[in-house]
Amino acid sequence: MATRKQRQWLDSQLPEWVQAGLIRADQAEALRQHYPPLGDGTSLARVAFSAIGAILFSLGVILFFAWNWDALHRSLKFLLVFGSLLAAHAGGLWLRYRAQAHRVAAEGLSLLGSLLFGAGIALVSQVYHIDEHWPNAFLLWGLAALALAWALPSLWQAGLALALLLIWGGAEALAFDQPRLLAVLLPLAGLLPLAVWQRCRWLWQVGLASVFLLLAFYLAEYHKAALLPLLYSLAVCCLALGLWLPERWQTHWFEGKRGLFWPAWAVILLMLYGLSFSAADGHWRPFKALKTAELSWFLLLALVAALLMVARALWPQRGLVLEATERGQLGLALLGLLLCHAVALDWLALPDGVLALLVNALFIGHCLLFIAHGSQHRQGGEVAIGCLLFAALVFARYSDLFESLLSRSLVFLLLGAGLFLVGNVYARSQPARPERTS
Amino acid sequence: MKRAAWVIVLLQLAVLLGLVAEREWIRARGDTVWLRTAPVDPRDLFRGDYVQLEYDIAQPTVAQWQPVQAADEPRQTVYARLSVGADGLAQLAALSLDKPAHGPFIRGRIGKQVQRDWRHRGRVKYGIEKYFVPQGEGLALEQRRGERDGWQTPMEVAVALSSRGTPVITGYRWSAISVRLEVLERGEARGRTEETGQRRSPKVRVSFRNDSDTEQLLLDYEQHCAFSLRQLVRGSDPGDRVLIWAAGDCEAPDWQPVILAPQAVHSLEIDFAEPDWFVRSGDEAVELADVDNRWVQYRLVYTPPAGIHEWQGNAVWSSPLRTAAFNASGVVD
Repeated sequence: MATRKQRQWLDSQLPEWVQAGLIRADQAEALRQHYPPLGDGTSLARVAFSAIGAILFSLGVILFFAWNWDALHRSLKFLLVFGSLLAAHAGGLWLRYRAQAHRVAAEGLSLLGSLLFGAGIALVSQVYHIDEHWPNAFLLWGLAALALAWALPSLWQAGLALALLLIWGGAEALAFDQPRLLAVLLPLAGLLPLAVWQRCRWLWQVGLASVFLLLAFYLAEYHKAALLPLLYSLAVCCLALGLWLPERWQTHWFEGKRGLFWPAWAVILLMLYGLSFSAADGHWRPFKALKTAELSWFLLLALVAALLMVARALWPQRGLVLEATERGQLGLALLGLLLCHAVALDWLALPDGVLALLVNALFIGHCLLFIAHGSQHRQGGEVAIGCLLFAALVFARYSDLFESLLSRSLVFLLLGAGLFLVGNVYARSQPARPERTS
Repeated sequence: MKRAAWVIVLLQLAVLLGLVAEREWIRARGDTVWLRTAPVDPRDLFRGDYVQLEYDIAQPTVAQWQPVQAADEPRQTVYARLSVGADGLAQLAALSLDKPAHGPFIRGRIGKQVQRDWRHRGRVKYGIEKYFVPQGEGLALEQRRGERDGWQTPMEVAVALSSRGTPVITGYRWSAISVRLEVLERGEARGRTEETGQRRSPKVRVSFRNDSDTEQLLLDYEQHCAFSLRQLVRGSDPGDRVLIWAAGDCEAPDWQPVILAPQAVHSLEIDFAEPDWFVRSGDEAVELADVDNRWVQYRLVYTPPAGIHEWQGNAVWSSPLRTAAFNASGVVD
């Protein structure tokens, strides 16, 4: 199967090939049939307009009732909102199951219905002057969207549920210093399985990233010392699991290891970047407070992840070939894992400055390997990410490492020269475009 | 799938209708009490389409706070037992962690996660701190409630209570008496005492105005023993909380009626530097200015005599009146 991008590229190239005499028209058609388009051919524009339209309409409803026109009796207000909710859902269900050609319109109406549920909650709190713990409203709203996401099933509802549950979890953690474990469990148990069932890559990746984020909030409040080793261990576990996925799971929607890799790399790189600041300020101390007994579980997890990775590297499955850059990335991840646990257990009696150096070296290593791997495979996105991360680190160190303007100028000169070099290497790796003949 | 989807949709509707039904039931069948809002604290900004409310019953005294002080849940549920006066106005009788067996009570929450702003610690939240109004009408309400240095008219809110203590606002009215606090001399402006070199306490003027169409009757003592200073409780640790009383012969009061005709004003001056006014900290009595904490705030409270509802055939004002908050230097909040 081909990804959407690959199919779009193929569609753009086939007429040229036919025109150039490389293939016949019937062969071009055969190639098109061999790689059918993904999904139902729904255009992104239609989806975006429908979704935005539903959101704006519901905002309009909310603002209308926020105006709080006292000439309108509360029973009439309820009738309007609840009636609209029912009508939107009824229309969405009718279109979904009776007129299946209007799938986007059905999703839009169902989304509107769920948004009006939120408007209904806001209206009830306004009419009765309720000033309770406001994150609860987002939890209720999110649960309603999640239930509908499974019942329909609908990725639009899943996206709404994810956004609402993130707001709820974030509000409890940041506004009230009371992060909830439920905020971690709901996306983990409620949205990730839905992503697998519906073969939705963005829901899987964003959902997994959300799980990590909410887990970080939870640990930062209740088990700060465990934050570093546990999150790092979980991220490395994701990397290891990605290596062990069966070949049949390496389909376009999940993209096999990529579905697990990208959220894991995001966590690892964010943690290393954050630690590069902490190391300079001596903020390692909270992370050194973990007791050995507590750490045993994380050590076990880390050990399992490390063993899985090493085993896969030593006995690769058919179809899985790890290149040098990928081995390097995984090796650096293992080193980082070891460093986190060593710090947490205070095994290394190293000065904070040396720890800072190690963390920065790990981060730079990751950046360079991203650039190298992206250049080799002509993946502009990977090269760009590597360059951006490297630049981010340089800017960070500009402010806390160098005082002399001379040193700072040298750093920028090196950075500029380095990026120039990378750009040239990447450009050379691209195949030359054939000259167009009239 | 289709059936499951319809079930979820109907559940959504049921949840909303359930919320409405519960509140309507409380409005229709619950006991209604009037709750007076505390004087305006200018730091609670009016945020558009609602008026921020703070209730007298949300500001317990030190003694009232004691039973719930040990609560360590982030959002601990507490129950405020109410005593209802002849005018229907409810006062806070007691706070407890257990639901009262009898009498009107209202359910609230305390704790760090309820009031993250340190200035609001030690207060109870009842979930009725916002009164939603049509756009544009909030400003008029705020202006009627008053400003820092001007007349402040407490808003009294009608609240229906369920058997579980759930409150629902059903309306409001304005207090018949407005209060004004003016600082005549701040502590810094009065210099220091010659003997000890300590700061002087402020001197204030408290005024009452009758905003209604009927006469109002207040009872006071010669030494103003009906007035006391209430310290606003902050945080969960009472520390050296004190309750300040005017000294003098308050054991055998000689009541003096103050009759306020409609729109009439009655004023009295209180000098906290006089020995009649002191702060009790443990066994020690010190002057207000010697309280070693500039962040502590007080309200001057007029408390009518208990058990006296009539005076020579006239109804006596029966509920406390509170001024704006101020600190030991005389800075009004």
